[in-house]
Amino acid sequence: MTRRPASIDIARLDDALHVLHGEEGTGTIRRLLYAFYLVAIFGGVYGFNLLRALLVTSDPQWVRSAAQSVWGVLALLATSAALTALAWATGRVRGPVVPPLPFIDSVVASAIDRAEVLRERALALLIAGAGIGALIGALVGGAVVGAGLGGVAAVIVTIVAATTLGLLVAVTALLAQAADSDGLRRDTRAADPASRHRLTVANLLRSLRLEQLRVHAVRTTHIGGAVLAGDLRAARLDVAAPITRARNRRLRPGSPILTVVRRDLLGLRRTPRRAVAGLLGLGAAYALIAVAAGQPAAPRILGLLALVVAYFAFGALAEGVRLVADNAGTPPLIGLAFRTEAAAHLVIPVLGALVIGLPVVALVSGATGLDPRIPLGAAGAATLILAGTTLMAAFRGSPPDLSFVAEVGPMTMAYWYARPVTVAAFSGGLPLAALADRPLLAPLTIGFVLGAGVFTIWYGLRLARQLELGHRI
Amino acid sequence: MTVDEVSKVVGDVTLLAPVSLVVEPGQCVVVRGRNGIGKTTLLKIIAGLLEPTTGSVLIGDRRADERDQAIRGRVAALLGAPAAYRDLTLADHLTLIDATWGRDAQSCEERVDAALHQVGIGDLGGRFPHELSSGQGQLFRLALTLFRPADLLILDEPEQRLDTQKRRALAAILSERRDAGATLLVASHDPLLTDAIADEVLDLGWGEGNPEGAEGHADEVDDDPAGSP
Repeated sequence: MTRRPASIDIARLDDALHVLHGEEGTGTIRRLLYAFYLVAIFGGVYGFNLLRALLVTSDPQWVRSAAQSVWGVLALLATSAALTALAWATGRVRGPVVPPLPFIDSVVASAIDRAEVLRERALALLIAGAGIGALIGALVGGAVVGAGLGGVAAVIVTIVAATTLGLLVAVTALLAQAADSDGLRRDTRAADPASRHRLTVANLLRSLRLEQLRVHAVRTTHIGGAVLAGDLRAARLDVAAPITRARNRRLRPGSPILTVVRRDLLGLRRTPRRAVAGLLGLGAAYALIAVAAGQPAAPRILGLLALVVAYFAFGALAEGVRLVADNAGTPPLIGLAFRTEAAAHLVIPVLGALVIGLPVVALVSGATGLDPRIPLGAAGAATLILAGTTLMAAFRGSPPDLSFVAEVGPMTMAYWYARPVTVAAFSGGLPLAALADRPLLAPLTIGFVLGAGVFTIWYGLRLARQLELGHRI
Repeated sequence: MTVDEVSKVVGDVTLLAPVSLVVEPGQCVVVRGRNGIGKTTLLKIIAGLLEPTTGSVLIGDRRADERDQAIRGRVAALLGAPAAYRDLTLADHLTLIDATWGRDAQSCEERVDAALHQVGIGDLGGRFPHELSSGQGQLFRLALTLFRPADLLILDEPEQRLDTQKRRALAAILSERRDAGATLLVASHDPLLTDAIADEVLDLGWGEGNPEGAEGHADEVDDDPAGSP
């Protein structure tokens, strides 16, 4: 068989792109660079000052020693590993190189070398990975220098490290997408037999199957539509892997509430990755709570960060609550009142948070020589906020009408989605971070967090009631 | 159950023209009519899920409103697909329903197995909902609805996606429930199912165009439907 020279593929692709986009071309890279330009300006103006302020208001000695300690390095490595794992998981569900469906059907499906057809998107992926990394590195390094915690070398180190991590994340996502296509396809055009099996970006692109690209493109449309419509169940079902584990283990009946609790436990047993992610996340979040609430020198942002991580980890264990919300307005099958069923589904995530979180708080407090009583009280109170904001998120209902107004829609939608996690971070994270400075006010502060927790639970159940009745128009 | 001049209007669109109906316990009424005439809307109103624009629905002596715990305890409805747990098998779903209605835990497994066998999916108890064909999915939804306690069963096109054999089996199950004293209200386009279970047929109208003015009226079915599934 005669091999077609690459130049013919390039010429054919150029012709196709000319038909689709005219003289200007796709403009993918141009739009990406413009986005970078905007992000760099905003990052420079706001991000740099915010990061610098956080470092300046913390104890410089503590920050420096924490960053250079074994725990600091481990935390950095763990964060990098988590980001890479997230890129892998995301890449398998929705790869980073996915053209629109019509382009897949009319151009990718043609005989043109797939590496050529997808080259521009892969290039955009690598530029985005490296660029976002470099930007974050520059901001962090710049803030370190601005706060007087390091010299110019710190900027270079953070830029190089973050750029490398950004590239690693981008390539991992592409590897995951190729893995989802059942392996690497050899480059049949390569003259050198050795290079046919080489792990190159071009070979990764050639290994992407048409059907997989179509599935990912359709999924992108579905998820986008579901997010815009506020129907996160549809989005969840689109990305969720089918469950087949522990098929022969049956749900044990008992009293109504106990059976709902056992249902959630069985659900977690059948989705062990979700269970492990939730419990590990809760462990990490409560460790941050212990440091934020007990260590006066720790940056205030640790409190906020702790509650954000805890909110998502708690949510991983609360699938049952979301399904109750999904069933709002449908004829009842379960013999429990709507809100009772919702509250029963909170038992497992609350127990998970307390069983994992409180020992972690005690351990971290002990290891850092802090009195564990205040962080333990703070962690217990924060758990109520997590339960309440999880209810708020599950029963948030439909997006407000303003979401569909062009001028303010994206901001309204972002606020609507972010409200529960924002409430968790600010009503729990900020007071907890303030505890470390004013231990004498601990009863008052913990009382405030407890009150906020009770309020969010009341408000979440009120939202549940509204959603339950909302369909009766 | 008494339906008195019930209608539904949203804005200037009439979803359901006024309908009246009285159904005695142990009676089955099949609702028919062209697409868009308001069959599902009527069923939703009777199930207490929708507020009628005019008229009222009484189940026993209580207004149909699913916010009322007593109504929830009496009415089981299949109106569209309920959201299933993706991490529970079919048998687990029925176990959960069984337990939340306070039935005896010791004999739960037998009831669950019997319920699955009754609708013809007894060998699929260990499957997850995503592992079902569309017809099996419909049988699963029917099993969920029929499994919970109820003395008023409201089913919207229960025959959809079922083959002839399964539709016959469904007719037998519904006849059995009716003979046991349950009230049935079923929207259906299937003559086989209608002949088999209907004591009365409520025709909402077959004309073209706007449902406004369509007069709902019930015709009694003469033959004995129980013997002809």
